[in-house]
Amino acid sequence: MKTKMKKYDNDIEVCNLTHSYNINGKLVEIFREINIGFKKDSITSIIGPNGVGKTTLLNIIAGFIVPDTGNVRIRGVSSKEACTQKKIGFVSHDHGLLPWMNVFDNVLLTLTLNRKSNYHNLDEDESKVLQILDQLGLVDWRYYFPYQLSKGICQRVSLARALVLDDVILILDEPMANLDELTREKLRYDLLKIFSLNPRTVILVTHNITESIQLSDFVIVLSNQPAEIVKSFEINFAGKNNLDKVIVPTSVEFNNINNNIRDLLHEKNS
Amino acid sequence: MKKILNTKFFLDISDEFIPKIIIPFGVFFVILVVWELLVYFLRVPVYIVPSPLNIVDRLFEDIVFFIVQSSITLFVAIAGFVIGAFVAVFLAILIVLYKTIGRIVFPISIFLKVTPIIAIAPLLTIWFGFGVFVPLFIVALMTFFPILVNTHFGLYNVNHSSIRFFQSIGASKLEVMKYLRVRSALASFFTSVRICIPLALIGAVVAQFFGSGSGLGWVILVSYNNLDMTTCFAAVLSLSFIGTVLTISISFIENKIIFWSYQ
Repeated sequence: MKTKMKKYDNDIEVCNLTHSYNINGKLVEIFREINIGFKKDSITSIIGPNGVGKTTLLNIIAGFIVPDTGNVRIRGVSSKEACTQKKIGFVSHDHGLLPWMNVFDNVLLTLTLNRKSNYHNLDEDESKVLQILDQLGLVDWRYYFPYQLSKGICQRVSLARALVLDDVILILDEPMANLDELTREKLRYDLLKIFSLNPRTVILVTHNITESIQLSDFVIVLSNQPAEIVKSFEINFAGKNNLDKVIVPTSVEFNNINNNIRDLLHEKNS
Repeated sequence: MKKILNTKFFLDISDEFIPKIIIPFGVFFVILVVWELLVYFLRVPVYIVPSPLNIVDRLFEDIVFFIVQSSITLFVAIAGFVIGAFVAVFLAILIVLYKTIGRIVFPISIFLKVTPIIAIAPLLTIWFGFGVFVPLFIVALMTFFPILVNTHFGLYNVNHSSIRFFQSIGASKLEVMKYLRVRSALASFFTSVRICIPLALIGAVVAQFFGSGSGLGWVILVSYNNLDMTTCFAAVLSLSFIGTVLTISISFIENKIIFWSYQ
C-alpha cells in the first residue's frame, strides 16, 4: 500500500535484487544487491559481459522468474500484476512471429490480445497497425508470411508488434542481435524516430556499445558474476538525438562515453 | 536447333520419370513376376501360396463383395480413429490448461498403452456382444495414446519467444491456447495421425476376427478356416490398398493445412 501511495517518477523500480541459480548442485550467485530505477519515458540500456545474466534480469523484471530476494515494482504494482494488467511488451532476440499469419495479422493480433476492455474499433486498430508498419518501413511486406521474409525483416515485425501498443513498457532483449551492421543502423534510426514521436519507457539489453549510446538516455554497465552495477551513465550530449542522419554522430562526447564504457567492460572482464 | 531443344525436353522428363515412377513400380513389378514364376515352376499348391494373377482374378470375380467388406473395415478404422483422436485432443488441451488433469489422465493412459488392447478383444466381445461397437472401441483405444502424447507434446513445446511475448502483453491462458498452441501443435498431431493409420487398421481387422460377422478381418478368418488362400490374399491386398490411400490422403491434407513449414 505504501508503494502505491508514493508518487513515482520511476516507471520501474528494482530494489535490493539478489538471485542465484542452482547449477549441478552448486549455488551460483548471479545478482548481488541490484537497485535500478527506470525513469518514465526514457530509454535505458543494460550492457555487460556475456553470460552475466542480463536476460535473467529482464525475465525477473517481466515477472517470468521470481528472484530470491528483493522486489520489482512496475508503475506501482508487481511484475505479475503488470503482466495481467497488460502493461509490458517483451521482445526476445528470436522473433517468435506466428508462422501461419502474415505480417499484418501478426501485428493486429497483438492489439486484440492487449485490449483492456471489450470495446474495440477494427478500423482504428487496422489504421494503427498500418501506421506502425509504415514507420518501420514494412508496409510493402504486410501480406507476406514470416517464412517468406528475411530474418532482419522478421525482427522488424516483432518490434512492430510490440511498438503498436502505445502504453506498454517495452523490454527488448537484444532485438538487433541477429542483424547485420547496415540493417542495424537503419533500424536504430527508425526506432529513434518512433520514440521521439511517442516517448515511452524502454529497457534495452544489448552487446553493442554504439547502439546503447545512440538509442538510450541512460546506460547501465553490469560487472561480471555476481553482477553489480558498475556505473550508470546519463547520456545527453548535444546532437545526440539528431534525426537528420542515419549514421551515428561521432562527436567528442560520444567517443568519451564510448571509450569509458569499453574500458569498464574490459576491466571488469579481466 | 529445334531438335536439340526437343531432346533436352525429353531428357528433362526422363530425369524425373526414371527415379520417381519407373524405379518403385519396376521393383514392385519384378517381385510380382518372380513370385508368379516361382509358384508356376515349383508347382506350389493354391492352398499354400496362390499366384498374383490368381489373387487379382479372385478380387475382380467378387469385386462388389470386396468393396463392401473393405468399406466396413475402412469405416470402423476411420470412425474409431476419429473417436479416439477427438477424446485425445480434448484431453491434451485440458492437460496443458490444467496440470492436475494430466496427473489423473497420464497414469491411466499409460496403463492402457502397455496393455495390449487386442488381448482384451475376446473379453469385450463377451461383454458387449457382436457387431460394430467392439471394433470401434478397440480402434479408438489403440489410437488414443499416440495422439494424446504427440498432441500434448506439440501443445506444450511452443516457440519460447512467442509465449513470452504473449504472456507479457497480458494474453490469458485460453488466448495463448487459442492463438498459439493449437496451431503450433498441428505438426506433431499429424505425425501421430500417420503413426495411427496402421494401428487403426490392425485394430479394425483384429477386432473383426472376433465374431463381428463382417469386414475384411472376418473375410480373412473365414477364408483361413476354409484354406481358401486366394480369398485371404485378396483381402490382404484390399487392406494394403486402404492403408496406402489413407497415408497418401493424410499427407495431402497435412501439406494443405501446414503450409508454413514447407517453404
